[in-house]
Amino acid sequence: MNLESLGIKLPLFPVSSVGSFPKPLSIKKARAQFCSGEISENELFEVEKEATRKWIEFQNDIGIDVVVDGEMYRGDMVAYFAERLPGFEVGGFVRSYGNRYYRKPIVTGKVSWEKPLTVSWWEYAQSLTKKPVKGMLTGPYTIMDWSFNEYYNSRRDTALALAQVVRREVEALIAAGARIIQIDEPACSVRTDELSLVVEAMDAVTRDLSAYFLTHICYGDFEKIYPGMLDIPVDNFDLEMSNSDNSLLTCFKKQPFTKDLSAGVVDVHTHRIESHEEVVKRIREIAEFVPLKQLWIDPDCGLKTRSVKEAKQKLRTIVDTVKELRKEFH
Amino acid sequence: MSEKLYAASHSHYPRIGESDAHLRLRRAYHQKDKGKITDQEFLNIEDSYVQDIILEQESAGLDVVTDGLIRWRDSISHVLQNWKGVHINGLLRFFDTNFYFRQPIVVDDVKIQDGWLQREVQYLVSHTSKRAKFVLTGPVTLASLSKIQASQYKDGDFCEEIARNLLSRIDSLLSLGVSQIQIDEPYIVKDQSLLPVLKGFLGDIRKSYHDRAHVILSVHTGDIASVYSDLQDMPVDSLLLDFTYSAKLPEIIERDGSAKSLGLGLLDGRNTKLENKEDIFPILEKLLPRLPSRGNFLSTSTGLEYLPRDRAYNKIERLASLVAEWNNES
Ligand SMILES: [Zn+2]
Repeated sequence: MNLESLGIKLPLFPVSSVGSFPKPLSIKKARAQFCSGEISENELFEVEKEATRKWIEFQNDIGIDVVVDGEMYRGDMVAYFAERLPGFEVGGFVRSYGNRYYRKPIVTGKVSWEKPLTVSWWEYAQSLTKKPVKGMLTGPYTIMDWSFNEYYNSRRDTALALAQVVRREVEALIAAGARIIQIDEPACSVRTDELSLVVEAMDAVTRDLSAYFLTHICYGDFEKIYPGMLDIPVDNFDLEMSNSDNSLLTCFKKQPFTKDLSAGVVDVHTHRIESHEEVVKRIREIAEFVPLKQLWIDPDCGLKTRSVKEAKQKLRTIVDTVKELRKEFH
Repeated sequence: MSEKLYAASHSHYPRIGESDAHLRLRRAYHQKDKGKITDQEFLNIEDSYVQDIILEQESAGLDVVTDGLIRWRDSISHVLQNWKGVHINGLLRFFDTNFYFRQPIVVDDVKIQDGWLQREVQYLVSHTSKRAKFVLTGPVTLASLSKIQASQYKDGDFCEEIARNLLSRIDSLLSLGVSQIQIDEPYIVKDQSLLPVLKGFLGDIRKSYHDRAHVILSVHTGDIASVYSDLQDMPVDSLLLDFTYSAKLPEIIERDGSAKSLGLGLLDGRNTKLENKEDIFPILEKLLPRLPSRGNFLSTSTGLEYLPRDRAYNKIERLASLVAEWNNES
């Protein structure tokens, strides 16, 4: 959906973030205290709110155009929803690599939506800024792919049931006033034979709803799902361009990119802070393939794995670079 | 093998659970990394953990057990680590799973090291009263998932080099008394160009050792329907097949039959849902008359490390009870 028709006006190259920011030590400490029973859930909540407030303040200060709440209150992007939705059980440990494990949720019953899961955080974040705040959700295909299923007959049935749940959350965000909503589908490039299911499920989430939708896909085999992925019914694709050294552009060369693009221009997995020149070069290269009016700028992925200092430096580099480029392209 | 159908462990098994006893290997890794226990102390803990996993398979009622590949970091880097000319590098996704392996980088002429896998196979054989299966990733998958930087290896050369090296050591492993050797080749579904190398490799194994061990080729984590006829040409005693990707596979086997005994990977190794008699027996009824009368077995579609420990146990227990019931009824 067109942003202007939603009453939102953004500058050239709107700057945003993928979603998560690093959690300050205060949260890690409060989490540990909450787990050992030293503080109440409410006290933990206050610490998370304070950390959220500081991240909004930072985004306001440096001039980010589309703000995120930073996900101070979330852990894993699938578990956050699975732990709160009827129909899911918390599963046991599964190994992801080396000596690293995570808990994989299990669908054991009919999944349903009872009450908003992210709306009060969105409202809180929006109350602290005049800039639009993105609603941030995980997509139905990814929740399905990252969970076990003991209830539905097929992967498709599971994804489509989850789509109805995610849709209810989208409706609640819209009712609260959200106009820009990001629905992440990082799993979507893993099984290329299921791309049509990703499209079908996203359509069930977004159809006929009045908001500007984005989806974030990362670290995937884009060559295998491009241009088919353009059928996913969202307005804006948030993609990593720097991790892949702009290699996605070879895809765009073969077949034009038809949607808006949030181009990730800093790597979230290195400590190194990109130089102004590097970021300018990346944006210029991308601008050859994507019309300027369709181009947003952000980091490759969530910044939660960086230190607070690194994350802030990377965001500042983006904002400063974009401010310079706006003068030139204006 | 006189029984009608036997129950076999696929390959890997979870190495972590919820209880202290089930967490002790994970803790030992941390302690070893921090230098709090010696390598020998770690090995003692690892040995006892492997013993537990073997006992767990026996108590579930499996006829063929593995060591759960508990000592393996992953199925790629464990096999090639410590080879001359190979470095182990960063993480890559293992097919479409959420598990990541470390990628081997080939920098020079490669050579397998003396004593390769000797101790772990010896341990397995001497700690079970059941038939012991030695599982090994095949040369096609190893070569295809490695990064080759050494210019002397072109196209299929590296695969042949791996095959030669593996063959030079397999003899001493089989002489330890394993009943079965299973070569895992999931990559064959993605790329069939190296099938001739695989055929040569399996032929050499079978020529030398077929009187001593039963040779199995295992293909999983992809749709096998298109390679089923190629697999029939492979010089092995049995094929172990993943049925979870292809709705057509049972039809194809029913139509074409099988000259080799089959391992029927009908229980989903990647989902916690337990299969019932109603899910499995109708397929057995259709397929078994089309197979050789002996040497067929029921198994999971993949190794079980994708499941939490308690669910993996439920899965092998169900596998064994389905086989017992089938053999009783028929
Ligand atoms: Zn990402």
